[in-house]
Amino acid sequence: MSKSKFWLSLLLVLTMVLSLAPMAFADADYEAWEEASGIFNTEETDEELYQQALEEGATVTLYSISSRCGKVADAFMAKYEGIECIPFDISTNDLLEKVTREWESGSPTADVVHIKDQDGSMYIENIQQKHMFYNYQPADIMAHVTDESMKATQTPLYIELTQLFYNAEAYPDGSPVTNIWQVTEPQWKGKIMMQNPLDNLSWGSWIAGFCVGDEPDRLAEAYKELYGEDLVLSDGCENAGYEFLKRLHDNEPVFTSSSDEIAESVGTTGQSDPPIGFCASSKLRKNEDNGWVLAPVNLEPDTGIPAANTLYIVEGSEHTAAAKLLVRFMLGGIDGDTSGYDPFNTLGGWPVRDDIDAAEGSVPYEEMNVAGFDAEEIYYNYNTVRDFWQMLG
Amino acid sequence: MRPAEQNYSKTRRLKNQIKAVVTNPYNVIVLIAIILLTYLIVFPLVDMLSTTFELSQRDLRSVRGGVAGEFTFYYWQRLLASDLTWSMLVRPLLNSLLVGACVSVCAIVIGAVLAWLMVRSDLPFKPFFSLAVIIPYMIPSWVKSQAWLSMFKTPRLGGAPGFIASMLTSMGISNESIEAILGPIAYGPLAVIIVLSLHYYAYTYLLVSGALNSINSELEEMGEIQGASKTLILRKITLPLVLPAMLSGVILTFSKAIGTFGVINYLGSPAGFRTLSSELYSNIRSLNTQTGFAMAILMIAIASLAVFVNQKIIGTRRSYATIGGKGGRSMPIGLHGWKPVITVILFIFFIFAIIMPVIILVVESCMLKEGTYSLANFTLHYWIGDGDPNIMEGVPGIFKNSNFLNSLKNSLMLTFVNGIFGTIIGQILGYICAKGRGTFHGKLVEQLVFIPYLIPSVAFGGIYLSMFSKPQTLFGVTLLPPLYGTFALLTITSVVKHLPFASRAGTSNMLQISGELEEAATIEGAGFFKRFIKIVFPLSKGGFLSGFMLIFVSIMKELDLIILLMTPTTSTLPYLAFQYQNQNSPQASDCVAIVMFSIVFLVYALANIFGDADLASSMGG
Repeated sequence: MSKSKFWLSLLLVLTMVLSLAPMAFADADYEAWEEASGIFNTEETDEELYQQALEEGATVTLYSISSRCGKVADAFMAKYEGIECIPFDISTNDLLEKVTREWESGSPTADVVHIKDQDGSMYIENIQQKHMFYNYQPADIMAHVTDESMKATQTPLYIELTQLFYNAEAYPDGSPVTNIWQVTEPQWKGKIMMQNPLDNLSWGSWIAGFCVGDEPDRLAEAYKELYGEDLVLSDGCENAGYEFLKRLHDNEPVFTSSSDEIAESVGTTGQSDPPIGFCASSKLRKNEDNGWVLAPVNLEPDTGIPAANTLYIVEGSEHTAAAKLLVRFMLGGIDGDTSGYDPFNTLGGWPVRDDIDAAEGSVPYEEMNVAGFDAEEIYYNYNTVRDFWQMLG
Repeated sequence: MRPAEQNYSKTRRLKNQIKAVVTNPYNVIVLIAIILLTYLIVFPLVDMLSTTFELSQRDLRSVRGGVAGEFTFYYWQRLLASDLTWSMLVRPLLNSLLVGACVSVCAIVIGAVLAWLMVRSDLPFKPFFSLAVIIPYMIPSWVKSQAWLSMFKTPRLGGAPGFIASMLTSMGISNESIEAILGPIAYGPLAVIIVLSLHYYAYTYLLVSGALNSINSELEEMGEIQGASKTLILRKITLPLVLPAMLSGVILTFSKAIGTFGVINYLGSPAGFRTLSSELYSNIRSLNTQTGFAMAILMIAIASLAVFVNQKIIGTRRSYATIGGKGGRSMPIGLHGWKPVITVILFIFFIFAIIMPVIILVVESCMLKEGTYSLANFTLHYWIGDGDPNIMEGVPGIFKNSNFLNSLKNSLMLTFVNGIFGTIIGQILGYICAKGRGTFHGKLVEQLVFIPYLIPSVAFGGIYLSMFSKPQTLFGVTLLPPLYGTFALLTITSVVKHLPFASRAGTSNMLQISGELEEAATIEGAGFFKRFIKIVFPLSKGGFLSGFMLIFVSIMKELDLIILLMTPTTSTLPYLAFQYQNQNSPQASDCVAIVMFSIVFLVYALANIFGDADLASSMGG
């Protein structure tokens, strides 16, 4: 046996042995946890939960997609003395990656997760298939959410939209665009800012939203209203939704890496010929801080699907009482103290509770043109629409 | 009876062989090294490959009748032979190759010329130049793209225009003309290639100047005595001697350039320019892990092919690099009439390519609002200001910000711990590569150690995350608890990813220690460990420090690799800078980047002055 063969066979043996190392699977005993944690008990009061939280470890970790989670944590700790709340502001994909890996390892770090279920995967995969997330819907608070479809698959915190914005300084007479089809006109070629739907799930879901349900019909109708003639579908475009995406893509939108960048590009003052851009409605609240002149457009027929911010409790959490207390606190509580919800109640975000008013200056949600949201429709069409966009180039 | 006898002697021979192998401490170390490398490098690679053949739960909706986890060609078929192949694979791949090739050529030319000037010529202000020339290596490339945009951004993208665009506007030039003039420079392939070349020339510079340093100048002088002209000497003597170093530079640059993401993201996407690495990133970000890994494997294959071709070209010439050993003395070559011209050109180059980005960073960090170039707009708020609810939602200046202080602490800890661990391991692996040069195990270790370099950082972080978030068991015995969220995981990931550098530094360091020294000690009866501690280690101290610097610098600016491994408490400076950037607070992001750069620069300068550390010497050999 030559020396080189010796080392080579050693390498092969090692690779095989190591590949055999058994992999630990995520624990399938979610039922035991459901039992032990009392996750389905929605009748507890704040006071009871506070006492239990102090006994079980007096700590709770929040993973949130909002930078405002720090303020929430501070307010929570001020109200519930003795309980430590560790907030972690992290982007959607990283949050999912982290929480999934941690949960699979059997020791979840996060107790409460604040995220959006834009593509329906939270409900279908993480709740129904994996049993990783749980909706905790406290009875007293959820009684104030009257829209049943809103709480059927999720525990809504507040609603955000992907809106079209323009520069109010450059267009003092109002938006240069009012119908969504106008962004496909040549004058906006290379001057529409957005994020690349290939890059993340929320933008991927947003484009999927145009192609499902009754949205294509609404788009076709809006087209006819604007141009007075019927929309002619191109080859490979199944409905008006796909046609819109194709024309939008052909107009060479500029892709940026964050919503903030879009808001800045559109909203900065002193521009003679500023771009328009789609971005998260919540950026409106940064107008004053940054001296921007962002103005939202209430597009015809609508601005696409809404994005409800939702809260989940993670299976395997050892701080369920504190987690429940935090969820209640963030949803706005029941005692009139809304300090947990206030950081989210800003321009460009709409409350879901009938007893909490939208921030000053907000257009009431009922007046906004928004597409319908069906978690399953989006989920099962997501890949098709993403592939379609990818194929456009 | 003969066959039996032969059998007997064969087994005995094997037994003796095994005994000899096992009782020699050197072999034991090699064995441990190979086991660990297999576990930490080959295994993740195999895992990554097998993932691309497993149907994921998310894609059940696209594959009729599929079962999660079952074997499938779905992802490869989609990537290699479907309607999506052109837009998902071929076009981005061509762009990657374009960037890789152009950046390699530019970086090699800049790096080699600079190295020759610094090492061989009688250029004035050498200490200044040789320090300045390393600076681009210390600034993360995404920071450079920011600086590039601050300079060239056009009004089409909205927001605050770049410096040049606002000058052109004030001269009364229309937006359309500005776009026509600046657009192609500001974004797209040209911008990407320029910024990356200015970033990666440092590799070639370090490698070539290391090689030049080790050439005995007598070789060149001999040519001169024989009456050869300067160009002839350069062409026939110097160039062939440094060719292996230059080709190594090509490999490092090429594989880095096709794997990079940050610069493409900032400078490529405004022009719709996407490469394979941006597709990889998009897919990983959109949780299409399988497709992302398949792309990563293709990228590894391309980089491996480049290494293979490189080895074929160098072939037997490889030994050239060490022919001269350490040069006894080195006579600088006179530049004569060219001296002032070259000096001026170099100064201009340094001002635009090196000093400018740093200055842009510093200036921008002191501007209350971006793009407003007036004196009233200057402030130290982002450095030392108290929280002002009207700026950045009340986040105070970085030196009063607990987030920053925590990240600073983490970064320092990570870089020092990893620097030390990485260097020690690198030196040991370098010892194996150097002593085992030409043997199979030497080559094996050398190849294994190079693999992490070829795996894109994002993918590498992802694999380690999934691997170590489960407890590591072997035959039911738990070897390691789940490491998720621990500092240990950050350390293991960074050390392994930087092994190619660390062991490269170790190898060149160990090659400089003559085997005769050890042989003499062996004759005197010194054992392996005594030799290592008393001879090898003391002699390699200088190289140790250089190797440390190399790892220190790269880990300090590392972002892609550890972004997935972060937890609320383990944030680092690059991550913080990246977050500020994404929250649209470039000033705060600049402040953090400046602090990072200052630390690296300070440590480097200290090591250089007091410890004889030289990045160049650790890359050579």
